Amino acid sequence: MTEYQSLDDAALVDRARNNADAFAALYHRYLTPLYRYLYHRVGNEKDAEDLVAQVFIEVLEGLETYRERGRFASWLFTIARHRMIDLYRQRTPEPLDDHSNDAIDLDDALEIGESQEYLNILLAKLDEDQMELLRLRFAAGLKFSEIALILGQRKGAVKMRLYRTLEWLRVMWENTYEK
Amino acid sequence: MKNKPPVLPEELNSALDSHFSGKNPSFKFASNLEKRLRSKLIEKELNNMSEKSEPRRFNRLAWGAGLLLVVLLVGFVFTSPTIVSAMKRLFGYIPGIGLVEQDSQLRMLAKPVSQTRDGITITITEVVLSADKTVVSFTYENLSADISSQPEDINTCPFKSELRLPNGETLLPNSAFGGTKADAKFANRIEYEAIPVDVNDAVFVIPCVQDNDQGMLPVDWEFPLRFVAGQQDEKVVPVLDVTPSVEQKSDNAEQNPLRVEQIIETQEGYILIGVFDGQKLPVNDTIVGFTDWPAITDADGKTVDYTVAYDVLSDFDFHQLETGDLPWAFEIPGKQYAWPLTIIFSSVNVERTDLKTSFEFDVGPQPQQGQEWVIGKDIQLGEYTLNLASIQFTGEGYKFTFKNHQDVSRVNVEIEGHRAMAGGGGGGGGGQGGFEVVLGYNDAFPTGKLTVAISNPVVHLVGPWQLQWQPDSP
Repeated sequence: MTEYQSLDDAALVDRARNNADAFAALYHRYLTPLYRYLYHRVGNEKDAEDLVAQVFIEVLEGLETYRERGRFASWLFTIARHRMIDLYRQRTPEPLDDHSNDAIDLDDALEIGESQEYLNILLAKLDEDQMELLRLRFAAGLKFSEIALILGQRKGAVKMRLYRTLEWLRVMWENTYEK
Repeated sequence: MKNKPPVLPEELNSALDSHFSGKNPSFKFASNLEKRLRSKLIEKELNNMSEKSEPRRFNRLAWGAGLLLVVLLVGFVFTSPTIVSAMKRLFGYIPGIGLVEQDSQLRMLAKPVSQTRDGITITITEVVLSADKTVVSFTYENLSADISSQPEDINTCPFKSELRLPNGETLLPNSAFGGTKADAKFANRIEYEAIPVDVNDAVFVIPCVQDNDQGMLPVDWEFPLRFVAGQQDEKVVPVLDVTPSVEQKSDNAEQNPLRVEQIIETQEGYILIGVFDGQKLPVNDTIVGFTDWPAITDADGKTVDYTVAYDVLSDFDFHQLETGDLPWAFEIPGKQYAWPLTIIFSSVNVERTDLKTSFEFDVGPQPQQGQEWVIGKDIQLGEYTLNLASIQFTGEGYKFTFKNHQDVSRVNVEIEGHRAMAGGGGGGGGGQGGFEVVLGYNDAFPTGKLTVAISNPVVHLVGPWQLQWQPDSP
C-alpha cells in the first residue's frame, strides 16, 4: 500500500474505485481527521465510530459516480455533516464538554488553573458556526478552500471568520487566563 | 488583522491542539472497519461484473440522446437570437429536484404511495419524469436512532433502490442524496435515467432499508407507481436566459471567459447559472477546475454571502464534459442589494497540452522492489522547470517524485511503449512537498532502457476574471 500513500487525493480516488488497497489508503488518510471531527460533534466514541463507518460506506458506494475535481475532502466531510445532522435530529446529543458551564464564571476556571479547562469554557461561549469552523480546521485539519466548499462560502470569508474567532480567543485568554 | 492569522500564546495553541487532536480512533475499530470496507468493495466489484453482462440498450440510447441535445443547445445558444428566445421557456427549476425541461412533457406521480411495515413507513412523495431524467423522492418515517446506528458486525443493507419498468428493464440510480427534514422524516432524492414517454407505470423497489441491518427490518419493499401528465406546473420556476447586451458587462466582453447564462428567480432570491468558457483561454490551455469559488460584491463593494447551488450544478456536468466550459451556479439570498453584483474569479487550473518532453533512463533488466534511483535532474517543460528527484520501482511499476514547483500541481508521465493501468496522470498539491506520479502495470512492467515522457502539466493560471450582473427590474 506504500505507493498509494504518496498519491494525492485525485489520483488515489481514481484508483480507489476498483482497487481495495487504494481505497484502504484513502481510508487511512482520512480516518483520523474524520473520527476527530465527528467525535467533537457527537461527544462520544460509539456514535463517532458509527458515523465514521456510515460515512466510509457511503463514500464507497458513491465513489463510482463521484467526479473528482480536487474536492474529495469536501465531499467526504459534507457526507459526514449530513450523517451527523441526521443523528442529532434523532436524539439529544451528549455534549463533548459540559457546555452547561456557560453559567460558570471565568474566575472559577482561573481557580481551577487548568488551561484546558479554561479553553473549554471559552469554547462554550462560541456560537455553533464558530465552533464548526474550529472543528473543520483543527480536528479535521482541512484547508480553507475545502472548508469553504463544505460550508458553501468563500475561502476569504472562511479565513476571516476563523481568524476573528482565534483573535477573540487570544484576547480572552490574555486578558483573563494569563493575568 | 485582515486575513492574517493571529499569533496565539503558546499555551493557548497547545490547549487548542490538545482539545481538537487529542482523540484518535482505536486500533481495533480502525482494523475492523477496514476489513468491512474491503469486503464491501469486493462484493461491489462482483455485482458490477454481473451487471455488465446484461446489456441495457435503452439506457445508453437515452443517455446518448440527452448528451446530443445538450451539445446542440450549447452550440447554438449564443449564435441565434431565435434559439435564445426559445431557451427562455425550455428549462424550469423545481426546488429539490433541480433543472427540468419546463415545456416538454413533464410527468408526475399520480399520487403519493405509502406502505407501513413493522412500524416503519416509506412514502414515495414525488416522482418527476422529464425527457432526460427521472427523479424519485421518498421518505422514511419511524426509523429509530437505535436501529440506524449500526454495530460493526451487521449485514448492512447497501444503497440499491431501483425502478422496474413493465418490460422488465431495471433502472439503477445515477445519483442520490438524502437527509433528515425538519419534520424528522428521512428524505431521499434519487435520480435515474429517463423513462420512455409511453411508459406510464413502474415499480419502485427498495430491497432493504438502506444502511440498516438486513436481518432486522422488513425487506423487499415494492411500490407500484403510476405517472400522469404534469399537473404541478406552478411548482416549476422558469429558468431565464440572460441576454448579454443588457445584464452582462465587462471590460472586454468578447475575451471574457465568464458569462451568466441563466437566472432562476426564486421566492428567496436568485440562482445565477453560468460558465467559465475555457475556449477563451490561450489555445493550449485546457481548463480543469477552479482554484476557488469567486468573491461576489455589490455595487458598494460589500461582500455578498452566497451558497453554491449544487442541485443545479450537477445538471451542468454535461456542458463541462462536452464543451470545455466550466459551469458554476450560485444562490444569492435576498433581492435587496446595491446592484449590480460583481463576480470575481481569481484563478483557474489549466492543463498545458502543448508541453511535452522525454528522457531515457535505464532501470536494468531486473529492478528490485523498493529500489530507488536518485535523479536530481531539472526537466524543462516550456517555461516551467521541474526537478525530478527520484524514480522508485514499486514492484508493480514506477514512482516518480518531483520536487516542488509552486506553479505546477501535476503532470502526465508515461513510459513510451507501455500503457499504464492507471493512465499515468497524478501528483498534486504543488505545495511544499512537491508531488509524485505512480505508474502501475497489469502485466509485465517495463524494464531496461525506458523512454519517459513528461507532458501536460496542470498549472495555476491567474486572472482575475470578473463580470457584473443585475436583474432586469432591480
